[in-house]
Amino acid sequence: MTDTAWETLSNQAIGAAGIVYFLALLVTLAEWAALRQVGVAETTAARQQGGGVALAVRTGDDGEAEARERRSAFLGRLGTILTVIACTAHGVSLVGRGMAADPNRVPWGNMYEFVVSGTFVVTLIYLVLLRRYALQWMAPIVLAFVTATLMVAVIWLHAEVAPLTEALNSYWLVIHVVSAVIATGAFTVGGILSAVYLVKLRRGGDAAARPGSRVPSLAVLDRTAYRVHAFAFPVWTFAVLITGPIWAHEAWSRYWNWDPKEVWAFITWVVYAAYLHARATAGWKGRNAAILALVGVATLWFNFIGINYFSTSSMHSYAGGAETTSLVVRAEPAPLDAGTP
Amino acid sequence: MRRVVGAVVALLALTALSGCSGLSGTDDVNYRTDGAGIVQVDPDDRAGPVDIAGTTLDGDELDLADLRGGVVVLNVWGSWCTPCRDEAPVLKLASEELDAEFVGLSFRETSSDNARSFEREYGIEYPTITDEEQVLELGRFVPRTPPSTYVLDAEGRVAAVITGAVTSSGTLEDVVTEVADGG
Amino acid sequence: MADVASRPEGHVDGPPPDDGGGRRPGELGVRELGRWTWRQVTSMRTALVLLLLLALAAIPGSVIPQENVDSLEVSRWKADHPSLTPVYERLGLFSVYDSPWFSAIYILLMVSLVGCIVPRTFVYARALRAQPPATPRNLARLPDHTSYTTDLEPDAVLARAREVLGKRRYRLRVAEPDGPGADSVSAEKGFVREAGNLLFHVSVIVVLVGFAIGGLFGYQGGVIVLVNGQPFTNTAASYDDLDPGSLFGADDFDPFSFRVDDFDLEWLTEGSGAGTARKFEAQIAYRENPGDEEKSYDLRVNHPLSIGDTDVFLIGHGYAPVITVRDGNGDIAYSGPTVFLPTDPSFQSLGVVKAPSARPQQIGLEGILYPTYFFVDGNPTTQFPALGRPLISMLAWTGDLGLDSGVPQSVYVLDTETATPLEDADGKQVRVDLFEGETEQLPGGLGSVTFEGVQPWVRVQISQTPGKEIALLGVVLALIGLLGSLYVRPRRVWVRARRVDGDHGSGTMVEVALLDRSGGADLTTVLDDLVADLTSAPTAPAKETS
Repeated sequence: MTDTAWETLSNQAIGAAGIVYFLALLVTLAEWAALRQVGVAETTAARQQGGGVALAVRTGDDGEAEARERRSAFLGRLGTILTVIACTAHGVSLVGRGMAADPNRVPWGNMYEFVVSGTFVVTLIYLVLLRRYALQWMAPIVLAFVTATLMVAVIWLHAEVAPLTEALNSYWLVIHVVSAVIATGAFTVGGILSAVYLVKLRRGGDAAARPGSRVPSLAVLDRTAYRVHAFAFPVWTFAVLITGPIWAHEAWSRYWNWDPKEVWAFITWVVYAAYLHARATAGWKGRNAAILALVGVATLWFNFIGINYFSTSSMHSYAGGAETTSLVVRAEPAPLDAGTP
Repeated sequence: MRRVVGAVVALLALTALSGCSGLSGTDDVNYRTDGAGIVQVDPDDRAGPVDIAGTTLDGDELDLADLRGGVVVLNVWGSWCTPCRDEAPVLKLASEELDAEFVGLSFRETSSDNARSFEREYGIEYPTITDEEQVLELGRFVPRTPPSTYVLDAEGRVAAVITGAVTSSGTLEDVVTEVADGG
Repeated sequence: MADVASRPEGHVDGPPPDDGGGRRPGELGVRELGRWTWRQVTSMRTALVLLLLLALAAIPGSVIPQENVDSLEVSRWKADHPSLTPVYERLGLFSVYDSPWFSAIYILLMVSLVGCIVPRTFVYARALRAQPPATPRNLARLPDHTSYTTDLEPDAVLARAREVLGKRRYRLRVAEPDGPGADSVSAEKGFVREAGNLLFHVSVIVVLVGFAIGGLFGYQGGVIVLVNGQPFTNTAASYDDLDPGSLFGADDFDPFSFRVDDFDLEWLTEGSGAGTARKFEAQIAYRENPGDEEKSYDLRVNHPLSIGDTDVFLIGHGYAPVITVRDGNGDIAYSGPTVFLPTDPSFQSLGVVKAPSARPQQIGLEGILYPTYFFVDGNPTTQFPALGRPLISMLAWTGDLGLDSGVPQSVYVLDTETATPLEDADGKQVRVDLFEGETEQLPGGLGSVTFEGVQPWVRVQISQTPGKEIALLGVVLALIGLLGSLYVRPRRVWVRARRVDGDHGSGTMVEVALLDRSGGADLTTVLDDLVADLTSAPTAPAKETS
């Protein structure tokens, strides 16, 4: 295949992934809706039974509820299958980006590729943990997030395939970016769990939950969120405080330069460190810890996308308006102290 | 344990305070500009003779070793450096009046033409070596800032360093006389 | 401060919190417990607040240009915001990470951290020596428990329990044949968690020490070196910019020197990356000490050269037009490669020429180099950053260039305050526009300017970073500690076996209870596995009842 063919494939695959994600979103929303009806039906059935009224007559309703439940289960499975398909296309698109470049490279050369990779990892982590933590209930949220972020990436961030700028051309790119992207994906899943926790808490907690609702109890939400964060935090530490500085030392001579991107990665690290501490602190666990997790995910995504547009002096200048700005060029005028008094 | 902790805190506090350094950074210009200061080295503490040799602006070979036996004034300078312009008239005068050999060593000069044009402007007659790498021969006395002026004793050892512009010939005269007298 | 989720959830209202030792539940006075808890909570809260403050305090530095990151940007910012500048300067907002208030936060945090690790290390050391706690009276009150009956004798069950738990590397409480705990086994494991936790926090200090050493004893410097120009000699005076640590002295520089013999790069001419360069490679010849043999090295981005304790990095490149200025007497007043600084990715570059020795008048030039010049839509532009059709376009000045005031001046700036624009017959300032090889006469017999050619330059960053290994070791240890404190689960297991005589015949009633002190674990499967192991002894066919 030619490079152009790979690039076309990548673009088509990302389009297909977007569409299938959207379909999966619709299906899982329908599943939610169906579940809600199941819940309502069960409640009514329970009341009627409790009232001791003509039990036998109600079998029709029970059958209906059963049918609904079957339908919802079917929709759930369909949603998962669609998500897997979309995720595969998503992965194909990433491979295509890498193969389209000459020489072939890892698909982490610019903002578009970072965002596509980040969302890919979000989906992947969701799929991997789906069985283990029974995460089916969060499908619509994950899918909505991924679809929306992909749209942003395709519409605003898309850039043609280009070779890596010289400064990115290092094996540290693979180690540093893979770990950073994996941590970003995991933190995002953790953030979604914490957000759901807060919403549920606000609505009155476990007691006020609708029967049949598949959103887990507050304790389970909190525990699952903690586990995902406990996975992401060491990975983030590795990415930001080990591989990042080593690479920075190789490329820029300073292992820690207080570059805006570094500062925000550090802020994210500190916030998540606070989250882990908060979970063990009376008066902070539960609600406040969940809020910290959300603050963390906000700083994370701000750093991932926002800071590039906000600060001009970042050496992580692969992103932003002028894609051609190579790190090497940026770094030049800086240290010359040209201002005379 | 406590003592270690104390040391760490002290260390951290130190990092917060800068400016207690023996070496300042470049501030508003693209080279360091320490104020003038004279460091004289006691005869007993002087390091070995300075082995500076190289091609001069006129294309001759010059070896400081050949000048031993008398006091040598070595001036590290560049045509681009503003304080060097300041001291040039003083050095010219001193080179004519003092009983010492004067030698220049050009530093961070992009072309010999510029150095020649500088010498023409100030009427400097003494030779200037153009091999910049030679400054490293000064060992622990390597220049902190241009210009730096070195007074070498009869054995070719660094006896005094004037960092920054030499703004009065009186100062240089005092140092040269002292070194010549074996001080 | 600082236990990364090591205290059990529901610590307060859970089962009796016996801290190691053979202490009995309830032995710790309520008041004492209260005071202890309160102290814990407050210190942890303080630490939390400090952590969040640290995050908050780091923000301004990412928004406001920082002196030690991009001082040019700082000057620009100051020029744009004259009224805010003094306020910001007072608050130290141009060097946030050295400012007293930022330092105050992290020093406080460190104090809080040390104040926490020291006592906890003692507690941990005691806990290591202590025995697993005695079996609580009522195991059924623990959230994770189960029971079954078996035909085996209680002693056999307990022996089997000791064997199973021992194999799983639990520490067992010494049996008390006649004591109250004679009918049970008490076991505990997961001490590594707290060790990891302590290691993590100690490592944070190690990292800071490494960082501080770098700040105190290291330095950073940058310099532009002409390709095929004079060698660079490593002295304090040789740097364009130098940022020495507080304890770095002028004679601490490694006495090396190097020359840049050649510089290659490859410009991309097609695709969206067109106009960017790749494969920078500077061929360097260096000497570690004066008089040493010359060695060569290909300096590339991401491939620094280490000389002694010093590292040399290639971080930029640019153009130095070779310009000759002849004065009114026909003498060469200035000649040589002149470093121009690129202003944007197109490599349109700015530079100045100062010829103070020119007679009858000093001559100064200030202007732009266009690497590939084209006149597009009424604007001079460069079409490509490579040297296709280089043109210099410079305004001429004369009179006093401000070089004789004794005030040090940057070679990249022309002080036009006292200089006068050189005017042509129409009274317009003279602009010298020259392609390579061209010469232009200056009006009034002042002389001429020739654009001879272009020589490339590279910008290198040179630094000593002592303590970087310590910092790295610290972070790696921190990560290991972190993994321990997050993934090792401290667990307690109790097995009690009692003879029961009931309606359904007699047997041994075995109770198993499990406590995860880290909280947040799903213990059902662990408990099931344990029971399966207990009952699977070849000689012990068991029937489960619950």
